[in-house]
Amino acid sequence: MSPLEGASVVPFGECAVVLEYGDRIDPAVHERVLGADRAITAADVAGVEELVPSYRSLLVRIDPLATSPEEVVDAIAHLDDVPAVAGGSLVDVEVSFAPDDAPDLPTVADRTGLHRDEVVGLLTGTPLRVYLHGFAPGFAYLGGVPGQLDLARRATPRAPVPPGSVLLAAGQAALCPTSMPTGWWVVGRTDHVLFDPRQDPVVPFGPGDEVRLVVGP
Amino acid sequence: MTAIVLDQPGALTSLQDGGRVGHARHGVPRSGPVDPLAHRMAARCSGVPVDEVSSTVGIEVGPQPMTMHVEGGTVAVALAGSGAELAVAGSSVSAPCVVDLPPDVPVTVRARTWAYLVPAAAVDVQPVLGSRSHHPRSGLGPSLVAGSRLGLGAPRAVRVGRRQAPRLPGGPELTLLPAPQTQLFTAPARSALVQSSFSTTTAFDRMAHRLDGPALEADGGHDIVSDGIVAGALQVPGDGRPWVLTADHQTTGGYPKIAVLTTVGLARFVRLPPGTSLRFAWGDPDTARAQLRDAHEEVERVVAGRITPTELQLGRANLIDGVVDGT
Repeated sequence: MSPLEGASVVPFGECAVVLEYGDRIDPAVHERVLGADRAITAADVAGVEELVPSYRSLLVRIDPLATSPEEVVDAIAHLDDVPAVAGGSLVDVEVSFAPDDAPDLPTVADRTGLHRDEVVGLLTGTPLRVYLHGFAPGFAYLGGVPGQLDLARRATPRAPVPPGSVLLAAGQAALCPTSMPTGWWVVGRTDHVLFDPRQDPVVPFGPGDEVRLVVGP
Repeated sequence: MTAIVLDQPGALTSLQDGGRVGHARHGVPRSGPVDPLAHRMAARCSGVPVDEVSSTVGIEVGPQPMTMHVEGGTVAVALAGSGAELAVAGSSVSAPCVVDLPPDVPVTVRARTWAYLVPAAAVDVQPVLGSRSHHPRSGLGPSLVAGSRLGLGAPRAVRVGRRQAPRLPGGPELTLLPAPQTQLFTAPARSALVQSSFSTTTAFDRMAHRLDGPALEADGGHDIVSDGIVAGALQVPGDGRPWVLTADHQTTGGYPKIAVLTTVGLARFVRLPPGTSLRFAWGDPDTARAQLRDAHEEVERVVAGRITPTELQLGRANLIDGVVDGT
């Protein structure tokens, strides 16, 4: 299947074109994004500088002096989606749910009508899908959080949270590699290295992989 | 060995090369110069070959002046940037220019918005993820603080003097192209975008510049499923006031983008001081690419073109000859 099949090709200036596969967070939509990402990466399309996969679309960044959005879209039309290697990798991430590391766990329990241990059980019970890195270097958005934990964000952002914070909001979880203010709920903390510019790759997992939160020390 | 020593860098001053390309997928902003065409001009005036511009590191000076001096001998530096100037030993030289800075003499560099100082010698700083650009929020790349010392390599041959300022192609209106969420905005919002006047504000940094003007409303609210972003995008949060995203913008975002400035349109925009009134007009990608090629060719014309003595050279000549040369 061509990466353009079922895709909306959306222009984004002379430096980018976006392939959109839907308007919601859904593993099947995301698989299309990753199939196109792998296909264009493998084909090394002339003038393409880099690709930014996200939940439901792929941003194709091009050098406007080397090529045009139309030429790049023509080249992509002749490619075939590259499917995922069977069952992407599953990475265990140890998380501390101790009160100091999970300051919002009581509030999350309160608002969801669950016991604290039930919240932890839901967070650790199912592997979470890595949708993308975005927002900040190594900041990982995870989906597949059980519906009982679907909470709106905090009304006001809280002061910077420590590196390694495990965040929860809007049916999503996130792993936050650096200290930053956030409107998400802080439900744990990990020592897992989430971004290291000296390593290759710089991130421990990528889109399409799964992360299993494990109760750690 | 010669060196540049930063005495007071100024709040938004940083080291920047062409940017960190290839790691947006890991959430790493591209960074690089807010005004890439001015960075290009400074790099080319400093004797860098045209195919090495994007790997050339320079000091980007923001709205606060930078004070510095050089050590170990005379150092030639190039300065570019709209309305920028350099003051040394009682003389003021306006950009674009190449000047010989004598050792241990205080130098002040002022930008009207963003300016680029590139020494005519390699700067000894290490790349991180393929770039020497500093990204303050993540700490990637070498940072500058008061007292930072930048060691310099062998000098490149340069011609000292003032250059003509390269002109940017296009009319007075800043050219927009469609963005992924253009159609999510109401018809009145899309028409206000090109029929109303906006103005630049003091709310800006290397990530984004906020505009004043009519509120731009999106149908169905201002929260979208996050997607990828490029510099020049006009992102509109819930209050309807657009932000123009610049070099350090986040790689993805959850606010709708109503439009994106062309590369040349963005260069025009970042040269407008706070409080400047501006208007937008829709354009087309082919013209945008042609204008970018023209802008690069204009830099080459100016670099190869006429060179006039700087105020500093004239001042020196007077000092040495003891006569005032009026020509």
